Amino acid sequence: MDLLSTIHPLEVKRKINEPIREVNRLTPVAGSGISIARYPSGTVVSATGSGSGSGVSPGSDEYDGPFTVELIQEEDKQLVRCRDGQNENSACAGYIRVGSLLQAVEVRSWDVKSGIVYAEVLYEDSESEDGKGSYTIDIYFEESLPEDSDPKRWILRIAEVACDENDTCTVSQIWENGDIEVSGRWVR
Amino acid sequence: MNNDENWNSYGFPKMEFLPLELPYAGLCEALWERRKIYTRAPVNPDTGETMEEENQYRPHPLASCSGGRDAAILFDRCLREVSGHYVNHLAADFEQLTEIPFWTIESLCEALEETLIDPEREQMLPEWPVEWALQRYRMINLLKFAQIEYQCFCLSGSEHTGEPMSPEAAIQAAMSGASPQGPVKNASISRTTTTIWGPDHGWKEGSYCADVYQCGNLSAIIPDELKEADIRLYLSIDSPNGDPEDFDAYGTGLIRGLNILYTDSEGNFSTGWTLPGMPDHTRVPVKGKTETFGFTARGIFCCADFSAIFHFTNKDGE
Repeated sequence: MDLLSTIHPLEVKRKINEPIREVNRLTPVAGSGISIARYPSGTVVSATGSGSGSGVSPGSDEYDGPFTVELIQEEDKQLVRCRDGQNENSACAGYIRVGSLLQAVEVRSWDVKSGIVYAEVLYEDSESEDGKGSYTIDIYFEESLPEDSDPKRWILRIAEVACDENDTCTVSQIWENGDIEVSGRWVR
Repeated sequence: MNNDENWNSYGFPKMEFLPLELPYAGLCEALWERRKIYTRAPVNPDTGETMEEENQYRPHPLASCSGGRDAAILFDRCLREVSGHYVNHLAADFEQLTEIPFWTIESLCEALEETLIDPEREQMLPEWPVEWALQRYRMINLLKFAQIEYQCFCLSGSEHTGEPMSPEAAIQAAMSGASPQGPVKNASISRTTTTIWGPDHGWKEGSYCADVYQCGNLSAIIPDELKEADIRLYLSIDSPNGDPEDFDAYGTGLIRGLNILYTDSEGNFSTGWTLPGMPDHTRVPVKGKTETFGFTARGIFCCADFSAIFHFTNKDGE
């Protein structure tokens, strides 16, 4: 701890994040013919027998709440969709809270590919006298997470989509805790 | 802290939505800079050189893992302690003020015309509120005037032979041969004359003793880096025994209560305080009594505006 007290706070954050990134990197991701089910007692990796050919597989068997990510078929097109798993007809995928700001996030869908569905909160400073800037809050689906160089950008991984060479895609739901609340930031 | 670090290095004032650690560390560094001004740096016993003291306010690397309220309470306790070493340079209500107005968290808030966000009294919502951090940033910026040393010349005389047969004669005897000595660092600021009924000191009936003390030529001892700074002397004075009837300013122009003196270009506070000084009022000591009159300082705070040498300061003066 004495050594830690001499490290700059940003360096500490980096050090703490290192094992977190490493753990994330080692997290098993479902692939072709392989499903992953996470239970409180542990994680079960099993062969699904559908390892070839194009197909659609659901996301987590367990989670069915806000920001549920799933694969859907729409007019011969496979899509990744993020919605509120508890309300099929809701236009809102869930809520993201930033301090006293509560923002509803619309249901989104994207063309399927391997990638990550994530929530992003971006704060932009204002030049106005009151100093209050503005927040951009939304969910995105990209092949990889954006570079985390902007200290005023907050990102949360919601789900990962993995597609193999046969276009068989699976979803691994990462966020399974309902609506999202930003933590670890100075907010109003 | 590096010497080129300042508020901006830690995200202030635009720190909204920054991760917790950096702005919180900035507040701690700023407070530590304020504290270092009035604490003596430790000396290496082997070399005799002053050492850089470790920042005791620096947050524990995992401090942000505990609640924001806990961190805020801890910080505010430190801020209260540091604030008390800085004078409220904005206080101007001299009819009400009798004591030197050192800053408190409450008076800082009043000066900012804000409502105090007090984590001791209320839940912090959200957990790490921008408003709390910015209020502390503005409070610390108001901590400017910290103590420096002063010096003055002193004149003192005593007559305790039991020979003078009147109070006036005793005073005259006490003053004879007394000459200003000094400069004396941080000496008592007062001008008092005490006449003592002789029998109180074991002398014959009708005799008198006297003690006289006067200071003058007050000047600030200004560190080189503060040559251009605003220098003030806060002086809370009263009569020696607290009785208004026994108050006499002795030609200094001071009033009973709080006075603020400013230096001239040479660093002097009191070019008009001649030594020896004469009482403002004709005073006939009462025969048969021991009595003291004049003025004496109840509180002395010679201070300078350290803004010019602080890294954590608002250069725009906001």
